[in-house]
Amino acid sequence: MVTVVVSDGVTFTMEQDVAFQCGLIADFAGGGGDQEEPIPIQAVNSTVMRKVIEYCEHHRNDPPQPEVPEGTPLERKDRRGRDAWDKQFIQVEQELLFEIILAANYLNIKPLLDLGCSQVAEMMKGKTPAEIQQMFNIVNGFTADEEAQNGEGEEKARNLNS
Amino acid sequence: MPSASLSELPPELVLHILQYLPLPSLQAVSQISSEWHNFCQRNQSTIYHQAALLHQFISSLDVTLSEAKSSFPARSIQETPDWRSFCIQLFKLNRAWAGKGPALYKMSARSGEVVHRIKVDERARFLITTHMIGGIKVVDLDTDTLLWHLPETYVRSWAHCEYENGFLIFDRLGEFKEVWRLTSEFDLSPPVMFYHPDDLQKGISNQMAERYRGCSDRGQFRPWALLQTSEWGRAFRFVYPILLVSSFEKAYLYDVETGNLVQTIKDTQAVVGGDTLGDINYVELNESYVFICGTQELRVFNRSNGTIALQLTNETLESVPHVQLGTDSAINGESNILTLPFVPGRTNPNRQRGMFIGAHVHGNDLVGLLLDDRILLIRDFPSVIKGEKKLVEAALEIAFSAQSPPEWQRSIYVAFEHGRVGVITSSGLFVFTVDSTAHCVTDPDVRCTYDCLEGTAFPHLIGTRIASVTDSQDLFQVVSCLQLTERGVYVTLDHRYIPELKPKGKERQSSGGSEKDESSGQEDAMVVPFDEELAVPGSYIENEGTTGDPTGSGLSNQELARLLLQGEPGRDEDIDDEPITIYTAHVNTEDEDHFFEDDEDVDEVFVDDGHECHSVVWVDYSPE
Repeated sequence: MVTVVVSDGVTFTMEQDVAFQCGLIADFAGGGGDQEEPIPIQAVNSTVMRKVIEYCEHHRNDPPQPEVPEGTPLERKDRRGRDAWDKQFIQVEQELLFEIILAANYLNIKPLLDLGCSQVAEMMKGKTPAEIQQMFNIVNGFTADEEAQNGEGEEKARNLNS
Repeated sequence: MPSASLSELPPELVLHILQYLPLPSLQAVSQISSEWHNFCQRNQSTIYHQAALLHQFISSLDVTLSEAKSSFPARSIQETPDWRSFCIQLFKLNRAWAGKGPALYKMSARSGEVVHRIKVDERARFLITTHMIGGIKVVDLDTDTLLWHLPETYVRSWAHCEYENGFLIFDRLGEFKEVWRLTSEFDLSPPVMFYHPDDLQKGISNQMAERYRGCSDRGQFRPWALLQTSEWGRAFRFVYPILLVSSFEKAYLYDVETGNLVQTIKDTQAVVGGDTLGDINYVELNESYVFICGTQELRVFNRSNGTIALQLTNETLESVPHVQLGTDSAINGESNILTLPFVPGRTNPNRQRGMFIGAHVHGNDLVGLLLDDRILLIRDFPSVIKGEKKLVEAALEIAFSAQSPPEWQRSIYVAFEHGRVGVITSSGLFVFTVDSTAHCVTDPDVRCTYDCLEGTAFPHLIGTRIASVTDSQDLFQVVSCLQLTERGVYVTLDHRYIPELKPKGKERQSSGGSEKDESSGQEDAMVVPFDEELAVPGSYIENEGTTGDPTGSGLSNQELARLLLQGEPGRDEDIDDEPITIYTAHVNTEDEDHFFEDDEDVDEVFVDDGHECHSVVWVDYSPE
């Protein structure tokens, strides 16, 4: 068993095969036996950690994934990684989604990081700049000139899409 | 802990997200704010390198830009300065092939008007043609100047030729196949081989060397070998380095580089399942299999042991899912390419003529052309051979809905390159993008492009027709060759029917949509240049996708079969005597304006001078 303590002081205990999907924990524990001291994970809070553990428990029996060489087309990577459960799992509030991404990055869980990032991409796909701005609450810092240029660019973007 | 929002993500995570976005979305992202704009600019190379991978323009992030460009000979790609423009150019090209972009007609006047076969080397920028009256020409694709030739007196009429990787192969009457190699690639000490060139080859080679003395050696060839089969070769096909020659009952495989016979497949006519193969229509090969189209069936042989791996007959296709290519067309204004819908059903006119007259393989996918205006696509055919998949799961039959009466319907030519199938039938010139998700032309999340394709092995198939080419079905009788390259479609056509190809004809506007043109034969203002052979630059041609000339007659068996079945007069008479009848108006070679404005006399328009013209015409999907 592996125990971790997260930023808001909550401790989680899980089996090794669940915990070791986090590269960070696996490295920390060094593959040794049970840990006596809880592993501190200051960058993740308990809400996010629960989601992370849910993900890791679901995937605990996945066959070990061969390291995907950089050359593998992403689409194929994506398809392998994203089953129906994953899709459902990652349907979360935007803030939580980004927290999961940050946690997956920090904890070094590659498939979860891919899942989160591709989900954000999904949200952006097929949208106009204005729609993306709105969706992610991004402040438009363009000057009027740049705005005008963007107008043209937007046309082009649409053309590429048409 | 950093606050969790898109704008606060560290740059490496933003880049991670962007790797999942296709080009149009990347363009949108760069416009959401000045910060994002700057971020995209700063990381442009990384972002578009990733995009190249997502779009499958490269196979790995290890591929450098110059390596990536080297596999795309088109100049518009070659000249791209960075990943971004590389991606955009290729994306546009792929969209154009799917009917969502411009394409231009071009032609090679220098190749002449009696072209029989075309081969294109897009990298070396030349076009190789054989001719009905004999001879071979090599013409510069850009300048349309003659680089080299072999005279009519030396190369027989209607010679079939194959070309790949600097090797040019054509047949000499009898059992001979002449192999020539680009002078520029000639080893100073070619291997001593059993099938060495004979004195005839050497003699003519010297004459030509004299003739082109002082010219650059680009596009010039020297004799490499003279292969001799023990029987008359009915069809041959060259996929570097192997030349496949099929006689009536044997298939011979030569390694052209070493000039050795490396394999013989015996008894290709063995009676299996009650039938023989029949007369040979067409042959094809890849690393593992040999494909022979006979009048009775299409047989696939294992190259490893010469056994039959798969047999396809008209009957075996009965259970295969089938769709028709519809006729409703929406023209995209700037393009001559019409996207056609697929509709359920099968109105196949004349199935007793359902024999395979051509087959091409591309990766693990196979296309077979049937004489009666149909093609058969098989996805991952090795899995069918191995019994992992049933034919009905892997295959799709597509019928072309022809306006012409059944007795007119016939297929002519098929090619399969770069994930695209090119087909000429009496219904027109068609190009299929087999999987439109491959380069993100359509979104992979969309289940299928047309409902009737759902559940088939080809859910993301896109079918296009090259506009106005269907308008004059008779024109297709003069087509003798079709080639596909990454960048275009090359065919032998009568260029006089393609107004864009005439001087000053290029900027002509389509006068208001061309929909419904084919049935009425009236309003097709979208005139596509017709005459030129659509030669595709050949540098990428790994498995050149055209039908071969299996017979020694100079006609491919596709053509022979057609002639036999149609009871048409021989080609020779055709060429000399018969004026071409164009059933769909719009063709008036003398007066272009008249051509566009006048809808009277629509039924038959004769070419004034009464001679056929078989020029090299191509559709360039990557106009510069």
